[in-house]
Amino acid sequence: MQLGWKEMWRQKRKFSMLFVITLLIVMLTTLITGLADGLAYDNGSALHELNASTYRLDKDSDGQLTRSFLDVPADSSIATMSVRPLTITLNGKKEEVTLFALPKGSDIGPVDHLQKGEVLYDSSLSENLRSGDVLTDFVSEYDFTIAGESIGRYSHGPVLYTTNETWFDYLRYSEQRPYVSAEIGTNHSASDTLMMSQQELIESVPGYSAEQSTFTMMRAFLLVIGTFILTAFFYLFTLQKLPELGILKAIGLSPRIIGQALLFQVIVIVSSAVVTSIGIMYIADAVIPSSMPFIVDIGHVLRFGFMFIILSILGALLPLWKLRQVDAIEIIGGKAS
Amino acid sequence: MRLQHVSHQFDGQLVLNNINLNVSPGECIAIVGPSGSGKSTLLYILGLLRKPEHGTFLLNERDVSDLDEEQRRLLRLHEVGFVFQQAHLIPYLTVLEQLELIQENRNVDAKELLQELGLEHRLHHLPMTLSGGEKQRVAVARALVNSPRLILADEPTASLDYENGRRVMELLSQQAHRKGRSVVVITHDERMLDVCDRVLRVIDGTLTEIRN
Repeated sequence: MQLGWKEMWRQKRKFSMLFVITLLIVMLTTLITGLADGLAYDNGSALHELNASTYRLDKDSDGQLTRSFLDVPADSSIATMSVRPLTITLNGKKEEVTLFALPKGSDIGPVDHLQKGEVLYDSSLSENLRSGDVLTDFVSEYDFTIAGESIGRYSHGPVLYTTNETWFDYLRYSEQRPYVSAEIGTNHSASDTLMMSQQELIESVPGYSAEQSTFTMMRAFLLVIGTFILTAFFYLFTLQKLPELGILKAIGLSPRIIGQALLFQVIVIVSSAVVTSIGIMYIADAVIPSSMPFIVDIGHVLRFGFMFIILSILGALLPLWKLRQVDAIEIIGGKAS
Repeated sequence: MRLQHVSHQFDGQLVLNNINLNVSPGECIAIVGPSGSGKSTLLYILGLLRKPEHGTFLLNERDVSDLDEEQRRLLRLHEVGFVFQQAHLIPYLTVLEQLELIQENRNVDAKELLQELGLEHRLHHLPMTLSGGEKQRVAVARALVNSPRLILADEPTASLDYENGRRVMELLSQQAHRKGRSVVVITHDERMLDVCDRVLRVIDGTLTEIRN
């Protein structure tokens, strides 16, 4: 390892260049991860914030709460929630929101203190709203009164949280048949219903899977490209060093020492690039405008960083193989006789 | 060190033909011969870089003709010191570190060794700051750091001017005469032969003693 460290320390320019290239690739991967996590949050944070693990939906809903229509359970102890997209008018302007109706008297959502007709709004709806302001449903002209703020986004739009009491009042007002979107926390399944976990529910949000799989593919490509570039650089470095390494092999130095030095360099460069890119990610998180969906999920970023390190180590097997193949006699300058 | 009836082929051609060679401790011998005569092949066999196809190679009375790669590597590290035409020093290691990298014999003081070779003022210098003669002396020090019983030098003066070449040759012969090591030098430079005890010529794969 000392050999690897001395080479890096005394040939700073060469290894700095390699570090910068690695950093750029890792940074691109982590920034995309931040963007993917931000979009994932933006798509389903309202569901993320709910304190429940299982949901029972209409079988024909494809797992989408806005397409699930269940009869109101006769047993009033069963907790239910309802979700519906609405167009509301706010200061004469139309806005798209999603209404989340949740049960009071539970810790499922943030609606415990709300009275009939009251809602909590996500600040992305408007920065100028105050408690007591009224939002009107454009279709039914039902009035929702602002009672406070609560973070919640669904399908890249702001959420209004309200109580089930308000929900049924809203349906009654707009002369619609009473229904709920899901039963929460129930374990019994019926043939006409669909049991889902919270994660499955989030993944069923329209566009969520398509969005995330695109990002996953981009990250996978970046990992592969990064590994190729690193492998190519270390391979070229190894080729440059073959005369000296061949002489060391002739002298009898264990190839393990040279191999360890190479692996040490790969691990140090990639790990430093991962750590630096995490730092840059936090800086980016602080300066990027809040309208841009970007989140630092450190566990997620570290997972990708770890994968990068592992793939780079695998990539280092090529120069290591080249080292093993070195014929000391050819390096010394003689024929392989 | 003894070679007994050693023969070796390359590309179907006999490059060493029934070679017998005996080098005693404290003896410095030179091997000369035209290009392609087989002298490099002889050196590779003596240096345990190649196995002889026929015959026996005895090093310290032990038959080492048919050892596996790892056994030969360990013997090279501990028993054989190499000096090549080019010093081939590691560019990012200082003079002292070049020796420490391969040093297995802790009884040898690398600094003292470099001092003996007139390199005490260069201990912490990188190869790029050394002259050609100094680099080759570092290569000699590297060959000596594990106190090998056999020293092999392949054209060690080829890249040096006469003065520096002479100094390197004298250092090698001193290793034989003062330290009791066996030294084998392959050289084209006839001006250097006088420091060796014996001179042998390889022609068409056979070895002939031309000066004793």
